[in-house]
Amino acid sequence: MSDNQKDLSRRQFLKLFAGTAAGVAFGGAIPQLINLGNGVIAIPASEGYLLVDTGKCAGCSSCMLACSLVHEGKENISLSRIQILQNPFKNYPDDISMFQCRQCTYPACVEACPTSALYVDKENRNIRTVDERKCIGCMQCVEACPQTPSRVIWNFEEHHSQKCDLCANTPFWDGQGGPGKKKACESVCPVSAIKFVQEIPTQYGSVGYDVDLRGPIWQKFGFVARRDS
Amino acid sequence: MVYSRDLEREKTKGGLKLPKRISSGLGLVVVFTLGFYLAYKASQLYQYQAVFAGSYTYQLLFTSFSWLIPVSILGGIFAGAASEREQSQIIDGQVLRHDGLAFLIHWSHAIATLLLVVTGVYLGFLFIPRLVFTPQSVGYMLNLHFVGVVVLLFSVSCHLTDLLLAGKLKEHWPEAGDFKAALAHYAAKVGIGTAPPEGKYLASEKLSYPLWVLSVGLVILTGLTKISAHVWNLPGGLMEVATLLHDIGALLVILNLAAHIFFSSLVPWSRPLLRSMLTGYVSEEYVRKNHPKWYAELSGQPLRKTDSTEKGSQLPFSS
Repeated sequence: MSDNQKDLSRRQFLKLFAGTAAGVAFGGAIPQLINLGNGVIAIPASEGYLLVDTGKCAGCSSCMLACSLVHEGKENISLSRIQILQNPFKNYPDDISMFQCRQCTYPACVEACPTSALYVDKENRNIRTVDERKCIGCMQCVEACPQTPSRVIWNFEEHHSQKCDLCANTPFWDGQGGPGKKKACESVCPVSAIKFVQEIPTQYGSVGYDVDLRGPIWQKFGFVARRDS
Repeated sequence: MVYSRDLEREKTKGGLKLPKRISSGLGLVVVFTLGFYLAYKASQLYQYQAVFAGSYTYQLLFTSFSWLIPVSILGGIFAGAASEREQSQIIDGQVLRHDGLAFLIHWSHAIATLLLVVTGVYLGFLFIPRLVFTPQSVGYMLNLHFVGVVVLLFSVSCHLTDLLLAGKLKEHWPEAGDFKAALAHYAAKVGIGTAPPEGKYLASEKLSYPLWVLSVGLVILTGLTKISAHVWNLPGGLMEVATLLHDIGALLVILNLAAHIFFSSLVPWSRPLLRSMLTGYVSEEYVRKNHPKWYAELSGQPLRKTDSTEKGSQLPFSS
């Protein structure tokens, strides 16, 4: 008797369950049938960019240390969002390379993020930045960045990705950072090899981002004045 | 040989079906083999935007196969409701301890948990550093994690549905006095005192059940929250809390799992139960000696006052 009651209750449960599941599936399908897709999603361009002059850079790494310090509270070049690489086997001007985030007009990193952790921050002049709390650590943004090395950095200590936010979120800096304010790397560079601009640089190649920041006075010090010199 | 008893039972029902234990085992092998293959294939890089040279990505199953999450839960509920449990009974000196559904639920849960723990450790959490460094290997671990999630959700929802419909929660949940009984049980194992008479489930097993509910429940709830972020744009604060609790829950699961493997597989007296988790059966003698209360229920004989788990009966150094 008790077995029959149990069977009956299981059968009743299955009927109820099947009916509910079918209802939910059908109900969920209706919006899919109506929604024909939204096609292209417009992403507004960033209102701030960092330009560099590799021919002017002295390779002191101050920008990397400052970047790490203001964002992470420690000086660790592996946590810096701007990367300076030095090649001792090459001569000037190919001995130093500067790799800063380009704040691309079409950001592949934003497109790749599955949880919208990498997003366009409309409150900070459309910079492309990471909400570290939402990052699941899939590293798709790191791979998606079309630049080499990737401008999205993996924070190996806190297990999330991070990238240049033009100092919009600098918890360890008492200065006012952000696209409309100061940038740590630009502020500390002793030779002014980093410059913030609001105009969109040329997106093809590195020409638009690696520019001549040397003035006529630079030649008076005996340095190479022009990029093509 | 091992499953001949199952085959005989199926024959007596007049069917030609495979025993549930074998079909469940084959099903698990197929699911995990396909899962590993799919996870590997999906984690290979491909160029996803032709306009940018070098812009590559891999397929994250948590995003592209997110529909499998509700499907696995619904499948588990269906399997739990549709399965008929086999009653334990004494047949030819053998007692059915774990039926086909118990086999399916236990081993799907076990393999999925192991897979989730291993991939979770490789991905790094809390103070554990990440052990994979390239996007492909991270993708492979995340995709394998997804396979574990799908199977675990199936297993847990199947178990809960069966438990609620059969009204068996009481059997697993600890009662007053179980803590003392568990202490006395293990004291007797090392030759101190006499063990109290145990039912089908040992007092220590029942004590561990709420710990499993807490740790697995925490991991599942926070994990589902994290998966929801692939579909909806969740607030950062919620994701931060979910991630922290998910990591803490994972640590609790690892501790529970270590204790479970030790007490259910490594200590010699647990071997008959480990064997029955594969074959389904324990000997009548084992039940009489180690689970007198359960034996009394099965045999219809009253539990004698002198009945107790035999002192040192399963000790490794006992004859």
